[in-house]
Amino acid sequence: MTAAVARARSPLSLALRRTARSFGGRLGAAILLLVLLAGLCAPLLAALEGQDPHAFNGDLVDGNNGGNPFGSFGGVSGTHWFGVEPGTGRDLFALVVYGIRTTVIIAIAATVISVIIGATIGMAMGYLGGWFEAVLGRFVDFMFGFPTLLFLIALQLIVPSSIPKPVVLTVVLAAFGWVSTARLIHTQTRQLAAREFIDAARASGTPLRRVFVSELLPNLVGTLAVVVALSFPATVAVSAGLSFLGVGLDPSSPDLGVLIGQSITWTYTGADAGYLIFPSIALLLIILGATLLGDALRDAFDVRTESGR
Amino acid sequence: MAWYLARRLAASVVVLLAISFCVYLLFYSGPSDPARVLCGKPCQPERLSQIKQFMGTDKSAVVQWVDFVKGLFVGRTYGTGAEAARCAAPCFGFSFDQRQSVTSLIWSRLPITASIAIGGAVVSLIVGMTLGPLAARFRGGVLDGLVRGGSLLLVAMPAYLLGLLAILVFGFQLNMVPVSGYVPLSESPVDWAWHLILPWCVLGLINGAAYARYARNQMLDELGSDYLLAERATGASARRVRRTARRSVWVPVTTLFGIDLALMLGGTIFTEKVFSMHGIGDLLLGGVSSHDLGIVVGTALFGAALIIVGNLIVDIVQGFIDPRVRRG
Amino acid sequence: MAEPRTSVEPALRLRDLTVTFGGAHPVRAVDGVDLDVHPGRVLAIVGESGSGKSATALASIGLLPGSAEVTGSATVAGVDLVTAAESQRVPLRGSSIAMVFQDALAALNPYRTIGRQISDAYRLHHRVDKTAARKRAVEVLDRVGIRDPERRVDDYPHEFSGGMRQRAMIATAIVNNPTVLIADEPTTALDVTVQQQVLDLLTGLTDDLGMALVLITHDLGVVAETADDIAVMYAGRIVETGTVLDVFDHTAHPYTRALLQATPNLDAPSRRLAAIPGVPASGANRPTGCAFHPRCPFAEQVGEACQTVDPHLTPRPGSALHRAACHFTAEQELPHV
Repeated sequence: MTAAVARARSPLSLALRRTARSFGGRLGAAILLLVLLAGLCAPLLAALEGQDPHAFNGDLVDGNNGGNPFGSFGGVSGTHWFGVEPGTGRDLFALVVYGIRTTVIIAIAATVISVIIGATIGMAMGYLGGWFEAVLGRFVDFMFGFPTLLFLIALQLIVPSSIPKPVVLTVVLAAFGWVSTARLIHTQTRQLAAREFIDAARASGTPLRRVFVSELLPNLVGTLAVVVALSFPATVAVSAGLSFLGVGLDPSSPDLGVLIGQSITWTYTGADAGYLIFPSIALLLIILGATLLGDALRDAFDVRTESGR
Repeated sequence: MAWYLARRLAASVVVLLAISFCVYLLFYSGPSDPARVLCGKPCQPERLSQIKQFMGTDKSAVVQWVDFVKGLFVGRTYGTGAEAARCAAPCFGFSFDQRQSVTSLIWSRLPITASIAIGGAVVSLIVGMTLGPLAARFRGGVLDGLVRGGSLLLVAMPAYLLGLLAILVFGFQLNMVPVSGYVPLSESPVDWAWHLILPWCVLGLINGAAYARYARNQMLDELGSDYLLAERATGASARRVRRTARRSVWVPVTTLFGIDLALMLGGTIFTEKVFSMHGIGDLLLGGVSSHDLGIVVGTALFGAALIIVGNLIVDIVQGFIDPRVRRG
Repeated sequence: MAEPRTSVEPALRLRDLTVTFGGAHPVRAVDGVDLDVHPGRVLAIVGESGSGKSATALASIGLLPGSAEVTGSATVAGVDLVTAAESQRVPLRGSSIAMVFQDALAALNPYRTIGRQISDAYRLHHRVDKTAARKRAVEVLDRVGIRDPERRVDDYPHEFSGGMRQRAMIATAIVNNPTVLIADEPTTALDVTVQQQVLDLLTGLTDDLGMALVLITHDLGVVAETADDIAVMYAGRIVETGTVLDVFDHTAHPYTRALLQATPNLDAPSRRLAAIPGVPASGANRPTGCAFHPRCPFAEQVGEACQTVDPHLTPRPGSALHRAACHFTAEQELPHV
């Protein structure tokens, strides 16, 4: 796709070039790619190490020392690259790569859904205008300053336990995540809708759906790229955060948030820091990489987000 | 100004009522039945209907919401006779598990959450409004680079990660500060602050980094503005003009602060968990794990009310520092 | 219009003032400008945007950004603002030389009352308490024609109308009775009806306070009604200067003539306006020889000199002050087009 666009020298390709040239953009893309690849190849990497994230290794932890792993730095060794989980003795490297996988898959799914919802609502608001825009605009403004986290936590209580936790997490993240997208896309669409080519399409009797898809959408591609790149790390942080608080995924699932959440107890009891540090670094790299890339894209596409964040 | 405030206040009340209505519709017509949880297993149908009557969950969600709103303003009584439990206004619900009103539970936890949140907000504003303008002044210098790089890292950093790292480094490795527990202010102000210092720094750094970056950019915008050039033309020194600019930067920073209130409350919940402090976030999480719908709904609504009140205060402050808002 | 009082020391004296904006490709925005402005007189600096008139103004008060390199001299109250240290310049600004900006809405602090801004400016140069400064602010507001100044002194800029804001800014500029007032396009952002009132106010203040007023404008109509002297700038240089009578009646530079022909409502209301052909030259793309030659209708008549020789200001018919930088000599009258 990049090659085809580059030939056309459209504003899109120019912006992508600017992103690719910026140091932050390159660094972010590189970090993100590395971590995502690790998540994607989790089974492969675990097999390479020769470990399984679900295998308990009771012999590797010291029952007389509160279940702390034998060996220095959480039991780091040639066979257990990141050491093992205290208490269970599960392999930490395998847990981290599988954890990246879980965290990233949920965040990508939630981001995609929330961006689709947000973009549709934002475009509809900007294009249709009138009372639709007024009412939804109020609602979006209100949701923007809403203590979402409280309700994300509260919702866990009424969701039937028959629905798998990852699905629940994805849906609630998406349900609250679309707001900032809608806000941004709304302003952009309103500016676009005021331009003549949209009027021309409308006047010539193009059906609404066609105006959306063939006139509006191509002009919003840049903004959407920025929105995706910036809301992905935010979603990762919240999703891992919920699991960290114990209201996201089940404690047994390999997930970065779960791992970090469980490491608190061990940190307090003075265990080696490895169990906290390896999942934390993985999480931080995902967020940092995506933020760097998002910032570079934002600068390249010259999209003004709320408060420059 | 008074008229403006009255209008904002009225709007806030309407918004709160709307939220609570939606929450009641969602939570009390859902599949989770608080009476059944309380009844335990095995549960006699007779006992269940008794509990339902006591809790008021035998009525429809809408009626329950009306009861809730009434309870907010005049208080309410759960059950009848010897079992009756009084919940004084403003009644945010009742925890049948703990046989206490949610209001009194919240009240006992509020000092902890407020201490963390307000202290964190103060630290973040101090950090942002000192480092931001300084970075702008020495643009391109070492400090500027640190602020820009540091803010990037810190904005990306989830509060719980920074908190855990802080515990690890300052608590366990350096053994400098306490890592958990809360001492009431009334007991010992010094211990209170000493126990809160790590949470404050964590919240303050994370939000302060964002403010520093924002204040830096705003300061650069301000310094290029006509009215500061005009002030210099009246004979004000460069130093005095920078002071004027710093004051102007408070306006956009306050706006951002208002937007961020909800974010800060979220950060406070994480911080409570990391530093094992039993504030409102802990109350909510405990309510979720014990399936106490009264606590969960009451706390969430209280949190929403807190944010709305906070926004109102920010608006008033903004009215004082930006005269153009007052007419709004 | 009074004859120039050359015997009196000028309130503002510019000598060989040159402003260069740095960077990889330095741009000479102002190039060797000499000017004298005398107390009680109005000097208009006229030119298109990019001619260097605003840079001249900012250099005179020492407020160009650090990226600009300024040489030559700009003397006010015996101090050369170009070479003086900032600590010497600060006390002169506002008290000896003050400035009125084009867009009063942008140039007034939106977060402070008008009265506060005027009294702050006053207190920078006078050791008085707030009450006295406020009294002075009311007095000055009254002087610039704000009705009910006692009440309006506590208003914020956004509560003033456009014309009132411009008056308020003039008030902050004259509160310390400066000897030189620079007004940079003071009426451009205003309605036509208000423009005249503000110009009348400025000329009235010039007479009353004995100030020297430097009026920066692109509007020759304004000049004709307001100024005593005029300096026409093109591509960073003065191309013609003299009294308004000199320049209007004995126009010696083709650029001035072109400007006059592009100005409506002068002597011949029914005359068609003539646009000046070509692109304005600026410090960045200065042609060789006379900078105006690519647009000059007389360049062919003069011949080679226009493209190769840079003309200097030489005396022209009219008063002793009338000079122009054009290869048409003093003996030749500029032919009408």
